Amino acid sequence: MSIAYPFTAIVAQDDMKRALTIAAVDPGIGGVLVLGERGTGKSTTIRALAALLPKIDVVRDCLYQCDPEAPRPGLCAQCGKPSDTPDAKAMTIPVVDLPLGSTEDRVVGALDIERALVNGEKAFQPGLLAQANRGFLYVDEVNLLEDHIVDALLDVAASGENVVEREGLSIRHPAQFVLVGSGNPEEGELRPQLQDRFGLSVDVRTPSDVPTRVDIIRLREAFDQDRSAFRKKWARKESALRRKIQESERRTG
Amino acid sequence: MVATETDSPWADAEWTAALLSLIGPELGGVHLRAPPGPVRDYWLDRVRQLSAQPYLRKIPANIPEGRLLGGIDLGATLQHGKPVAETGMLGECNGKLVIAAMAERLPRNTVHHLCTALDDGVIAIARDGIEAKTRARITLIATDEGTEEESAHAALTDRLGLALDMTTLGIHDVDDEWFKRRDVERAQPGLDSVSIHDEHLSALASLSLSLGIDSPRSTLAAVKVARASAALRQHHTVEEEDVARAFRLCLLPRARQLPDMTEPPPPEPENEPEQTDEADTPPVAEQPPPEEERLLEAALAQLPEGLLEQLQTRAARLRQSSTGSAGAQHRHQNRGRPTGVFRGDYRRGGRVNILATLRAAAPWQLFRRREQSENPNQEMPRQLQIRRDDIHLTRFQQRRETLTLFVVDASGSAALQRLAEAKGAVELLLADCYVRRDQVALIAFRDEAAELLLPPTRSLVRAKKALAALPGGGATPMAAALDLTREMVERASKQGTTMQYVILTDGAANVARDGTRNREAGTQDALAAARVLAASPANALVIDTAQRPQPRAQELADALHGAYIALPKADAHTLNRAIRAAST
Repeated sequence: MSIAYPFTAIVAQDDMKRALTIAAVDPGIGGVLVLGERGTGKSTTIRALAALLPKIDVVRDCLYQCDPEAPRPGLCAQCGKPSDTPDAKAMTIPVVDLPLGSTEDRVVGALDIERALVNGEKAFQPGLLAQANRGFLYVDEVNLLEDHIVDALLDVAASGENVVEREGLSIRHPAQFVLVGSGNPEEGELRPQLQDRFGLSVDVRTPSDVPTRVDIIRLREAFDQDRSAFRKKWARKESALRRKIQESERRTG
Repeated sequence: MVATETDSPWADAEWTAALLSLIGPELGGVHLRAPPGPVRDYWLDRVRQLSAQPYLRKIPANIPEGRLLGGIDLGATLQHGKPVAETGMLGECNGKLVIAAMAERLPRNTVHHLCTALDDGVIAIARDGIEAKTRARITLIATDEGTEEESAHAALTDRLGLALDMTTLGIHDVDDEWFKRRDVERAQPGLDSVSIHDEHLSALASLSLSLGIDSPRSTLAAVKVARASAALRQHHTVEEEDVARAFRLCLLPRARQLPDMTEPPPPEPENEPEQTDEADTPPVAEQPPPEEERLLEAALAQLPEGLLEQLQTRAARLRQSSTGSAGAQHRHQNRGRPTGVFRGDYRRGGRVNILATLRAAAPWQLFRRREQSENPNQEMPRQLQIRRDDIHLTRFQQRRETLTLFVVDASGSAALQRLAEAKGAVELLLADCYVRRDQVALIAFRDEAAELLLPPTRSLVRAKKALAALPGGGATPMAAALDLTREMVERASKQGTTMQYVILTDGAANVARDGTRNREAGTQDALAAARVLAASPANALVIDTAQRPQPRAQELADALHGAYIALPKADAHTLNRAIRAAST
């Protein structure tokens, strides 16, 4: 909806940027936890990542962004059926926000209320975990997340698969995502089980020298004044980093 | 043209109102410290006039999450037969000035949602079968009536560019109107073309640092305020006056330390890494350029008298409270204050929330009836159909209770006079526990057994009676006392109570677990029991009541991983402090 601040225009915070790009190169790392005080640009950086990520091929009309090239068993029920090569389309790697206060039905998915009411049919409406498949799931203030949502997350993050049994509906679909959490450690402990899920953990601090601070303010002001012009100005750097991520991916994969 | 003197106490208030009206959405809003009263009302009136928003919506501190964010509109959903989203209060207030009343009382989740709205201007919801993004660009006036101890959440105040303290202003301070609506309107077009010199920019950045303000958000707000201030004065360039104003309205109220004008500021003492990795510490110590020093002096010279002292106390307070939280709270299955509902299995216990359950079931009724009537043998059922998935439970939150257990050695070895002293100490501690609304319990041990004289209670009178009636003399069955303590700790932790225990003894155990009198076996058993007890989740304090402190009580304290204090040296205050230290 709104134009994101460019990832490459974020001043300092190299650890956080590196951790996120590493996770983009190899999702198998197992998530990134960003801990830091207020005003360190945690959310800005993670939102900026979304605009930076390269595109992936997905099965057209698949609700779970299944990979058309992948072996069938790991795919969702629809794509897993033996059929011709599925129609593919390219889409940007999803970065899904899990807002605080989400209810469990929207996180794991539930019966589609509209189709139930209008057509009287039982259909599964995928939740945030489905949208995040093959992408990133971002939880801001992860230490404040409700326990029962954390439970659901832990289960899925461990198995890479989301199993829903509700209203006589039995669905299982792939849900492999890079869990990205951010929070202020002063505000509450993170449950050890959840903390364990993160492969990388970075502490962020505000830069404390004047020139860096001035840089931050100057760039942010320019961004606020004309967002699309600012993005255009940084487009070259953005695509350079995007290419670098793609190349690294090929080399490691 | 507008008056520009700043010697009136009302000046800051008037400027804040004008700035909010001009660039409110960019600044996020204002953190307003003011008690309710005519001054605050008058100021809010000024905001209404200057912003041309005759009606300011108010977000009550206890607003339910569903109302704040929006969710499913049940009535409309049932009427139209398709899900209809209801806009929450944040969405309704898009583009408007909003008052968050009693910001110091806002629950953490509400704070988070307000922060999201201030950051992104958009809130995402994913609840009750609805997934939506709503525009919610708001300007927040967070009124804070907090006292010294409580204040609005730092995450929120950090996002509010302006801060205004009207606690010291009386109605006689209210001054003439300096600005008219048309001043704000006239400033609008020139806003983008106001330029700011590099030295002013870096002055604001280094002033923030010298005041110990970590977050760059405040500096960013200060730059915006400086520009807007120039625009309101119909100037095209930011001048010293504007910088000083931005400093007063944005930076000074957030100061965590006093700027040191003679020496370079210390590089953020709180964040300083351990002495061992000095090589990694960046060399920050830099003499501030003369320009800044002059600005700082100019800004400080403008301050009313007494503000510096206020600042000093506040800075001290801020440092203390920076890691503080609003009291340990934890979720409990069915006690405490209800804080929300969640879909859950009622068989695992917990209280079913009928309303939420019915709400969850309502949209599905038609569908479920249709589904059932597909079976021709059955008539279309009329009654409400509730499935297990609809069941919602109430979530409770409870302030964690603390139980202080006194374990008093009433044996002969703890001579009678010492016992009286120990009783006195316990009474003092009891009074303190009473003030903190802690529960207390009392175990006494003498002769053959340990006995729970007083089960956990809040009654001070009962505790005193039990203590007064405590007889003395006999052997010291320490192991039995420690076993009973462990039982109590386990029971307390099952109930979710935080517990600490205070053992008053001379440490001379001489009754073994099997009841035989044997100093050697008694001590061995006591230490073994202590080691088991040490593993339980409770803090221990051993008060040595022996005339001449002996190493055995210290050994006991060590085995318990607890604190040790000798009574001969301890007066009531030392004891109190020791207990507090042990309980944190």
